[in-house]
Parts: sequence; C-alpha cells; structure tokens
Amino acid sequence: MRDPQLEASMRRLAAQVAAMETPQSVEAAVMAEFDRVHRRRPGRALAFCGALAASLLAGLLLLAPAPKHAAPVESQSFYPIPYTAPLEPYERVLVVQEQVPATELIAAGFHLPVAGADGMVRADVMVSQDGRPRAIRPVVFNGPDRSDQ
Amino acid sequence: MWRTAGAFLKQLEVSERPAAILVIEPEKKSRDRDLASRFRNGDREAFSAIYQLHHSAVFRFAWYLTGDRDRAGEITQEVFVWLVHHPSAFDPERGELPAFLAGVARQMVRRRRRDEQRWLPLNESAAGTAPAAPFAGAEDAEELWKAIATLPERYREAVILCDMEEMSNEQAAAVLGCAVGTVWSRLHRAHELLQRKLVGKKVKCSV
Repeated sequence: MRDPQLEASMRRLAAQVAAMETPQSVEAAVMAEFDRVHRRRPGRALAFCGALAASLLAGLLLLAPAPKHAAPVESQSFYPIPYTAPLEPYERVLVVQEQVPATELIAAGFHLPVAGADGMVRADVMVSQDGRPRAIRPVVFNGPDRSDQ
Repeated sequence: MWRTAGAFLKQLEVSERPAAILVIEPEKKSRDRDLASRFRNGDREAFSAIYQLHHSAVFRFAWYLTGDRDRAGEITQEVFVWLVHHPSAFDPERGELPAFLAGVARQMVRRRRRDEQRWLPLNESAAGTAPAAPFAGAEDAEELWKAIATLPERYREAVILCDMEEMSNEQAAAVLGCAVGTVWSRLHRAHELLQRKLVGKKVKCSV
C-alpha cells in the first residue's frame, strides 16, 4: 500500500488537472475536419455511381440487338456530272445540299421517279476547288438512267 | 491489498475525486460500441458524442504527458482528427474506446517529441524549462506533479494511467502495449521513486 500522503497529493493533483478544460477551438476544428471529410465522400460515391451507370449503359448498348436501319437509300454514291473533268486525288471538295431542277437532272441523264411539286429535287452537290459542280447525289432517286448508253 | 490507487481512493473519499472518464462500466462500453459503429457509417452526431464523452480524458492524459495546456490541446485535436480519417481503426472486440484513444494520444505525444528533438532552441536558456503548471493553492499537488514529471517515461505513464486516470492495470496495459504484470511492476517502482522524491519536500497533507 502507498503512503496516505502520496494518495492525498494525487487526489488533489487530479482535481487540479480535472478543472482544466479542452480549448473550445479544438472541437470546432475536429468537427470541421469531420464535415470536410464526409462532404468529400458523397462526391466520390456519385462519381462511382455515374461511372457504374455509364458502364451498364455501354454494356446494354453492346449487347442489345442492332436497331433496324432505315430503308437504304438507293443512291448512296455520287454520280459524276457528264462532260466535266474528273477530280484529282489530292483535290479538296465541298459538299452542299441544294434544290436542283429535275429537268436539269433528267437532261443530264438521271432517272427521277419522284420530283417535288415545284419540279425541284434535293441533292448533295460535290463542288471542286474551282467552284464547279463535279458530282451529284440526289436525295431520292434511282440513279442515272444509263440504259440508253 | 488495493489493486489500484483508484480503488483505494474510492474507498477513502470518493466525493473529492473528480469523476474519471476513463473508467469503463458495461453500459458505457456498450454505448461506446454503438457510437463507434454509427461513426463508422458517417454519423456526425455519433462522432460528436464520442468527442464530448472522451475529449476531457484525452486532453488530461496529453496534459500529464506534456505539462502544457496548448500542447495538450493540439494533441487532443490531432487524436480526434486522426480518428476522423481512420473510422475503422477502433475495433470494439479488441479493446475499449478510452484506452484506444489514450493509446493514440500517447503515440501522438511520442511522435511530437521525436520531431521536436530534431530541432535545438536558439535560446539555450529556454531549453529544458518546464511550463508552469497552474496549481493555485495546492503546493503538494505541484510538488507531486514535478516529481511525476521527472520520473522515467515508462513509470510516469503507469502512474498517470493507473493513479491519476484510475485505469485498471489491464486497461493501462492495453494503452501501453505491454503485459499486465509489467504495468504492476512499473507502478510499484514508480510509487517507490515518488515517495523517495517527496520525502525531502515535506508534502503537505491536509486530509
């Protein structure tokens, strides 16, 4: 057993120390750190959920049956306009969509089963660097009628 | 034979002894377990409750080890900030929360000491001066504090945990990471040293 005097001194020392209080700033700092850490975590969770959702969507798109394509347009390629110089391989071109008179196309040898009420046909026109039309791709048509050639 | 000074003092005069937060009762154990579980799930209120329940004990323990209020406050803050970043570090199956927090505080103090030893004070007179402890009107407490402060660390820790904070030898062993018998022998040796130091100082006892 210890000395009673030592016991009493310990008791008084403990009482003195117990009267000390933790600085108020400590609690504020600790709770701020808690908030900072836990504010960051939902962001991570959201990012994770977003990545997961994107992965699932990508998987579904890959596994899903391919959607039926729209009815193929019979004319998918450009047809050179008669009596024009062929394009050079290095030549840059510009494609513009325009309303072209059906009569002009027919005169050029294209067969057009459908034409607008105004006699105009929508067509993609390939224009060469010199600004001249070199090929044409009507949006709806069956291709050039070359049966007589 | 009293196993700890706390048990002895409880029999002697309970009313003058400040309530020791480190003493664990079964319901407190269960409460801490519940709070720790909620805290792990990000419950702010649970963490706040843990702080409210245990900051005083951590602060006192840090003060006993450093003898400085500002440092003790910083250590307390470091302990709980560390806890925020390591919510799963405390395992209720392996120990009690107060002992766990005291162990963290002890490591913080040791790390701080290591860091401080790398630097030498420019003013040599400032080196080794212990901060003044606020012991108004309790000279014997002040003398005892000075005596405890001069004990070797392993004895000082045992006295602080078992005598001042009323931990059981088992709890102190958990904090110090040693065997229960080691705590008992360190405590015994510490009491011998303290009594020897205080004999010449005529510790006043007004009991």
